[in-house]
Amino acid sequence: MNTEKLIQDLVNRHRAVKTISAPETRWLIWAFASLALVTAGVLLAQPRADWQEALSRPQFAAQIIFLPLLSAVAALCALRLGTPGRDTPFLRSLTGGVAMAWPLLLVGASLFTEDLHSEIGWKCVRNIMLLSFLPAFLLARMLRRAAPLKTGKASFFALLGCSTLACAGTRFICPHDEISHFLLWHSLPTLGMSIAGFFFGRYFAGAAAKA
Amino acid sequence: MNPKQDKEMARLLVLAQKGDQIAYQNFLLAASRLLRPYLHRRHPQPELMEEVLQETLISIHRARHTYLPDRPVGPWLYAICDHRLMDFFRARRRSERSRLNQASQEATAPPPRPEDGWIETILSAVRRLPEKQRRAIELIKLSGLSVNEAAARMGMSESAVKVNAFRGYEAIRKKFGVKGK
Repeated sequence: MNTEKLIQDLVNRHRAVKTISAPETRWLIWAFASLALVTAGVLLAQPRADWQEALSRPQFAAQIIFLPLLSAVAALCALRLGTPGRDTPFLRSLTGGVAMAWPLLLVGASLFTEDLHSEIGWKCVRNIMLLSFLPAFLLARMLRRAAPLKTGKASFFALLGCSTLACAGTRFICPHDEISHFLLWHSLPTLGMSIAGFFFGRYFAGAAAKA
Repeated sequence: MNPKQDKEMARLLVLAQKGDQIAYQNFLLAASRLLRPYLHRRHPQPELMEEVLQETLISIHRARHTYLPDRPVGPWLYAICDHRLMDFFRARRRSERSRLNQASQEATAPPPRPEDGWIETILSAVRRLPEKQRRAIELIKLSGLSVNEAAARMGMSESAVKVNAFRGYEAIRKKFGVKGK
């Protein structure tokens, strides 16, 4: 088919379209909705008894500030990747770098501060997955409506955004504050989910978008 | 793309988003005029770049609802085009790699030897053919007779011998999963 014929064909198929809103607007909607969903999930799962006291500890407070911040920036990167021409490679690289370096920092910290004993935390992994489910569903719908060109990267950042928010929520449920537990049962599953998201986006969502 | 061009294309795309088909046609024509030289500068084969251009136009069509009216068209348009170009080079690299692998496998594979048992395998396949096909192949290929001599031995016409031998070859090819010529 020659290009002029293709253009004619596309024009014949063209109808009025509903434009999507700016990535920042969608990001705000997602952030508020997800925060509400994760809070509701934490309340449903019964928060730990000492959460108010835990908040006064610098290590716990740092996690509670860092995780939602990483989540917010990752979700923004995902939504920006969904709009052609709005991608911000610097912010994306920085967020990806921080996400990858974060478990390494924890490894270092756990080696210097305590023994490597860690409580088994399958419940924490389950909680992270459950708490991230609805935010991920919401973000996936928003990305589906957009047009991510780099589907693998968009899915990675989307899953990173959802799982780190869920990870922050899980800190209010899980009573174990040891760094090694947080590393093994909170941060590694979070990163694992994000990497799984990358492969899912690249091989399934990418194929579906091209079909 | 200069700011005037960008403004004009933005106007056309906004009209197109509202359902104006003429504006959409003009937008796509302008986009292809703009992207064609851009793509041709990146690859010496114009027919391949025309394919990338068509892929880009299809992607633009799919993503036309993601253009935000208050933003410049250029970055949006070139982001889609660059991505399609990257896809093209990636696919090309993959096919080139698989072609090279295949060629190196063929070059390094040792030729079949009689002790590998392949002769016996083919002969047993010949033996299982229907009588006329088996005889035609045995006389022509194994005994080295001409088609004329084989026809005389079998008491058949030359063309009947050829047909039987051909059917035999086809049956053997099919058995070993080899496509006919």
